Amino acid sequence: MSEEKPTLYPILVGILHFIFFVVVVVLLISFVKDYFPGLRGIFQGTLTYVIIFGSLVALMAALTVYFIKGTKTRMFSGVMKAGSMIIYNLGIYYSLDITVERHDVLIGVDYPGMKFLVVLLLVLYAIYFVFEFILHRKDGEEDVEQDEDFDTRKNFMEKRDKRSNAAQDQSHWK
Amino acid sequence: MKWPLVAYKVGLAIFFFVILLIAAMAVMPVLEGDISVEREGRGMDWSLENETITGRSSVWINNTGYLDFEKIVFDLDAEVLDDFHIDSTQRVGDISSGEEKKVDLIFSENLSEVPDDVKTHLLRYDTEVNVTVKMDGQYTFSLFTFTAEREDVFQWDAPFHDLSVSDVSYSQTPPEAEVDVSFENHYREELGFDITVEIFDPSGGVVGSTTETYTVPAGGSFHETITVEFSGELDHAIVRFEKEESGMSYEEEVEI
Repeated sequence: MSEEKPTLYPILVGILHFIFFVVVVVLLISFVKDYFPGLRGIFQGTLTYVIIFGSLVALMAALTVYFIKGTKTRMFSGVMKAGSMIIYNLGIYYSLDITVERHDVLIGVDYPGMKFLVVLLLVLYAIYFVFEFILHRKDGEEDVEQDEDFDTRKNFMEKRDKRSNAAQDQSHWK
Repeated sequence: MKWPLVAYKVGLAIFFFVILLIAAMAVMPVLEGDISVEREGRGMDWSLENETITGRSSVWINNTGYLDFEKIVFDLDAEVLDDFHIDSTQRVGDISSGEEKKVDLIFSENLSEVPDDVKTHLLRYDTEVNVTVKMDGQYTFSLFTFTAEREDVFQWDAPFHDLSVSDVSYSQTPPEAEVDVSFENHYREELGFDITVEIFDPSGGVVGSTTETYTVPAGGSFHETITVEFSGELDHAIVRFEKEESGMSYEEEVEI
């Protein structure tokens, strides 16, 4: 059971991200298209971008939690996750053509300031993984550097279990 | 989890909610109809004065949203007879949150820039003018930018609508020529104008001429016979209409 848990968690995280970034958004777009036919034209290939880049975000999210904190692979995949979220957002941004006709008025909307804020948020999110790497590496420097395989949740859990068992055996022997 | 990372994540979460809040503050007033751009009156007020053709209309911009409007610019384009355009750009500037502002939209073009066939048409016929009004603007810090474009057809009301000039009839005793002129004044106000009738002999010399000044109330009809004394052989006549203080004139050659 303890061996399955670390593998299951990344899969769950990946599925949750896929639901949030792909399924919910696809349903939302389908709902808008079905119930507001006048707004159909605003989606110019948005579904394709959502499915491709949303899946990438889910994959990177699963990979990120698969690696343990304080490792370069975790930092790298975390930054890649934030990067894929930026691409996801920009893909949606550039595939939307928000032009609607209302009461004989053709209205076009763009949101460069909001786009900047979202990208800034995601850049700060990417920096979080660098920050996390620095903080966790300081504390767990010995463990991490001594063992090259010590970079996944699974390995980490196995090592931890072994140490815990060894400690228990030692206490019984005493 | 270490407290600096927790603090960082909390900061990110706050930032995320601030973005959502800003988006809601920008979008909700639009969806609820608190922000509106409405035209005052239904038509466009045209004038023909000081050798300039001018069109005026007004819109009210009501910003009862939470954010300020910035860099509001109106681009106007009036198209007459499919080939003549009058363009105008008006920079309104900023409209603060809670403010209601009246914006006067003005077209203006010097008559020297208007082709003769367009001028003639505008004098003689009520004409549809296609007006495109495009408004550009943004919320504070370009959070959202927007463009609103509307096309309207306004009626130009001609001062000499349905103008009719008869052929010249004349009698030798006494030597007088007569021209019948009729039209309807559809212009927005009283029309003051001059009619000049010149009669020419076959060599192109003027053998008779007269200029009369008339006024026709707005919406009124004009029917008049202009009489000209002449001396000599008659060939053709030219009837010229000049609207006072406008610089617009129209002339027509008539047979005798």
